[in-house]
Amino acid sequence: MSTLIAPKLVSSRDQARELTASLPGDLSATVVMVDCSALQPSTPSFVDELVKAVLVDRRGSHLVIRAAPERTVELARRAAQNRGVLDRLEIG
Amino acid sequence: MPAYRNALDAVTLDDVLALDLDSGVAGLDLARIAFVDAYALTGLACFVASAARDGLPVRVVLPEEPDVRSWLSRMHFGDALEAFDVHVVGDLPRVVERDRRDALIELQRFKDAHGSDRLASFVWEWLEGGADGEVVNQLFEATGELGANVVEHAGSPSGGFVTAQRYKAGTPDERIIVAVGDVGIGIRESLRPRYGEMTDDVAIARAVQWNVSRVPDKGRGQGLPGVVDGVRGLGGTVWIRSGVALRTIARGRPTTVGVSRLQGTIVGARLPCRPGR
Repeated sequence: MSTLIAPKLVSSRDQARELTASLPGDLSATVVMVDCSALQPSTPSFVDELVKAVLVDRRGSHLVIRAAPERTVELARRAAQNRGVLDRLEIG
Repeated sequence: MPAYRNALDAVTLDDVLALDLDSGVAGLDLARIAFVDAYALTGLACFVASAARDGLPVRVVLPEEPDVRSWLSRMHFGDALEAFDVHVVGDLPRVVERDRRDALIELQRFKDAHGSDRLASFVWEWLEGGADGEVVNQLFEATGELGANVVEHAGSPSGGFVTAQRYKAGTPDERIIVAVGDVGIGIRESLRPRYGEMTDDVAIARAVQWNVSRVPDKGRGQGLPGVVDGVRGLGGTVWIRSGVALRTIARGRPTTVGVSRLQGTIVGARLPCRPGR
């Protein structure tokens, strides 16, 4: 499992790309957990880019969103639904 | 003398914008203005930046009312006038900048995603504890998404402008206006390659629908609809001005009016600080 820690405030797609930049290009056998315990607000763009970077671009096995605010969870579910990867999203 | 309205806001902004095609001069006549809100200030900056971009000389007549001149000075409107080499009739006074971080965010420019992120964070920290949590988060989301739209889609050589202000502090009507503007290609031109020719009002109406984006990517088209949905859900109002159309969206049916052409897009949100109380 790879673990990423989301900062307190996140808004742009660039920030999602920076957060995931250290991940390998192929995550098909890897679960990625994003620890959102410090996170306050987020934006649809940030969350969509996070889902895209892990589950679409790198074909992650699963993306686990841990301890996220309710709004971020809602955005993650919507992004995963839009991109057809909802079955690989877990809310922890 | 034109019969200007005293208060300058999203709807009345047009009253002071003048483009004299014969002389090729862009003018702002603020002489009889008694109040300027955060949306209108962002619009004034966009008008000046747009004219400068087109190589037009700009002439600005400052308000006669001293309090309004002081407010414009406090909001750093003078920086925009200076940056775009504007001919100014009247003076902006020097004002002592007491700490007003609880009440306003001065007119600021941003040019990239880093700048947009910084402003969204600034808005959140500015508001934290001073309004209901959902309002603070919504305005963070709005600033972040609208700023990102400028950076990613607008093609605005001057970057974007942001202004915010809290009004009627300490009263039941306490509210906040945040506005983000640019002098880029506008919504219609942004959507045209993917969706074809349309008018400005149709383009705005389309841009606030889910999954509509210049970028052909499944997850796009969540930002502006999310802002509209969130602000409206909290009893707020969104104004979107692009090209020759201004759309006002609140609870109930949205309205669109024709306005003079202004290069780029200005989006503003007004939210009550404590909705439902």
